[in-house]
Amino acid sequence: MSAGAVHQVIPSLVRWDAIGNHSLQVQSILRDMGLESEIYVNDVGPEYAGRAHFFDRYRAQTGAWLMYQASTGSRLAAWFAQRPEPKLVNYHNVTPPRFFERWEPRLADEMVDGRHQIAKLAGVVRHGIAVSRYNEQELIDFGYRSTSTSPLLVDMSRFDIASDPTLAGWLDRQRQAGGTGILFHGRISPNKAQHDLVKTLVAYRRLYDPRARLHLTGGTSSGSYRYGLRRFVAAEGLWDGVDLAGPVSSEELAAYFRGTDVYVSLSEHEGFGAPLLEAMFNGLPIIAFASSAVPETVGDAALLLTDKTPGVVAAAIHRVVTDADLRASLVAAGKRRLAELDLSRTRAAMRAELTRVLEAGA
Amino acid sequence: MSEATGPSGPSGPGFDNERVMAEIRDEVARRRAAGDFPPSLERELDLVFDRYVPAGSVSSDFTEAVKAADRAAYINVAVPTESQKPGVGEVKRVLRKAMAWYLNYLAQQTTAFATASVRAMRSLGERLEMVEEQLADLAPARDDAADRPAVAADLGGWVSLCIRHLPTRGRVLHAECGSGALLRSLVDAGVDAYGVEPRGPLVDAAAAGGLEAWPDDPVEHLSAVADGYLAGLVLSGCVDRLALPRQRRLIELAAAKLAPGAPLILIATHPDAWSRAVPALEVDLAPGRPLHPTTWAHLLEGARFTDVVAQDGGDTSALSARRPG
Repeated sequence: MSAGAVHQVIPSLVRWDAIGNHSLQVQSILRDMGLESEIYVNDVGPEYAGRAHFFDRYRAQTGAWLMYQASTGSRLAAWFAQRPEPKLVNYHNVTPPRFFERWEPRLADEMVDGRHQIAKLAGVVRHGIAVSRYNEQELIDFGYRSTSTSPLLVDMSRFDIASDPTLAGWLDRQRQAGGTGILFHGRISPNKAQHDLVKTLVAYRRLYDPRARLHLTGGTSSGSYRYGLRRFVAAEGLWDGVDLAGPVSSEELAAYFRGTDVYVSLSEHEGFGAPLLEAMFNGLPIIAFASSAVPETVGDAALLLTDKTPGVVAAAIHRVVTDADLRASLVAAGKRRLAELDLSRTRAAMRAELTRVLEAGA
Repeated sequence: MSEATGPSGPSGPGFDNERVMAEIRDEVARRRAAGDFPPSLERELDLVFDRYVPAGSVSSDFTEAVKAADRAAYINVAVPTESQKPGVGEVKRVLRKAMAWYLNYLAQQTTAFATASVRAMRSLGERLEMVEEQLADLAPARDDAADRPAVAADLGGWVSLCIRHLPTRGRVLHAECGSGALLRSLVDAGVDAYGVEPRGPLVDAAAAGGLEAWPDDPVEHLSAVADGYLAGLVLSGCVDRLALPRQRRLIELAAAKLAPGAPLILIATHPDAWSRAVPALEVDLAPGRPLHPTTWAHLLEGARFTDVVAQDGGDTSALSARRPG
């Protein structure tokens, strides 16, 4: 292999971001391979201040490759495209703009630009590595001639932390008072379809459990969607049943995963779906709408729905909550799936892929 | 595309997803039949949520969009200051008071601009309305399912035709299925059929009978179905009354959503619809009148359907065709 260095270019490196953590793992793999590897960013959170450099500090280096972590539109894409070094793309998916057109036209425009940027890179990169087959197919549709898949690098040991005691106590008291706890973790965003979860709660309360509660954790991608969601919750009289928790710490999130009964994802677009792994880690049975990359991420460790009308999802929740055998099967399948996606295996896969690509391209 | 290099993808079933989902669908059908959760309630939930989508992005009703814009034009600087955290509410109130002079100044200008824009839009809307009124005599009546009587047409005469053409494997859609009489016959004959129907009372009646029937508009429903998904399609009701552009759209969607070789059956129940005694031009040029079979056949052949055969059944008529394989 003649490459002496592979440096990564990533728009943003911030805490609690799955793509940022993935990039740090890739950096570790590259260094294990004996290569120099630095991370160049447009934006960095204070917790990673010493681990990344602003992209304008990059200096050309003989034998160096560049690898772009692509998940959003960014001015870095244009800078990356015009660099003379051999280039790779690691693709995490840019949300299709159709989900945002009704809610955030400005963001939808940015997504159009982001996808155009990824498509334009097809002409200048040597290879695209996607974190799911779903994403790989998008790369092919964008015109990439050489592609492969290597899963997202998720350090499951990060999930093995103590729960926030105050929140855990609150969730425990709710549980003792009765009522199924339903959880979804993800940014409040139209493509994540939290509104369908609220509809499901209406159906589930009416059909099975009037004291059921829905916990929605995660920051906000669309303010107007969040506002609409809050008004929808109020219109349905569900203030006592929907916990719009917002961004939570790792400890708080652990409390949610351990203090609820079922994880339900009705998301319509996921490039990978890292929170599904955290649900598996915490032994929470998963019900998921079979969209985008979700089926390949969960394997057989979720009850997969092809129809997410509220009555159907409510009946699925009831089945998982009341059928001990099914619940045990889902939890056991989750543990098996986690073993398949264990960091040691996914790192080995990424290392093999990088070695192959660098040798072929050298 | 290369093979996945990492351990992604299913690792073998721990349980039978298909079997569990079939049991769940049975449970849903049973609860619906018991009236616990009528499909119209799901439709209502959709409508309630759609109210909170930003103005003008869901409804195409111009007046409603202008009203929503009018409501949104006023900028309220009285920011909510309540907080569950002790002391934070007081801090917010102090900040609001301290910044009021600045925010009020900006808000007044923004409100004035927004109000003037809405007024201009309203004026434009009034002018458009005048143009529309002058064109009204030339345009066919607008289709609105809610305005039509909730009475299902009798399709009993076409059961055998449908069963003869429709396969017993793969999903078959009947749009509009009314209260589900034909759908029931298809299901009893082993066809994996479901229906959509925009009129709430009819679809509730179909669901109450244990049928899989959804409250939806045929064109919108077909738009949402995956390409090549349907093993068969029966169209009734909508074929009689839709305006010509929507009828053409219906044919385009049928061609896209049917699997190769899958059958399409159109059933007309309008007494004037397919009267062979009346020439095609005479029927089709009359605003608001259903199409003549010759015209339907022309449209279907234009969409590359094959084996197009029209049949007269007295009060009703049917036409069968097949999507090319």
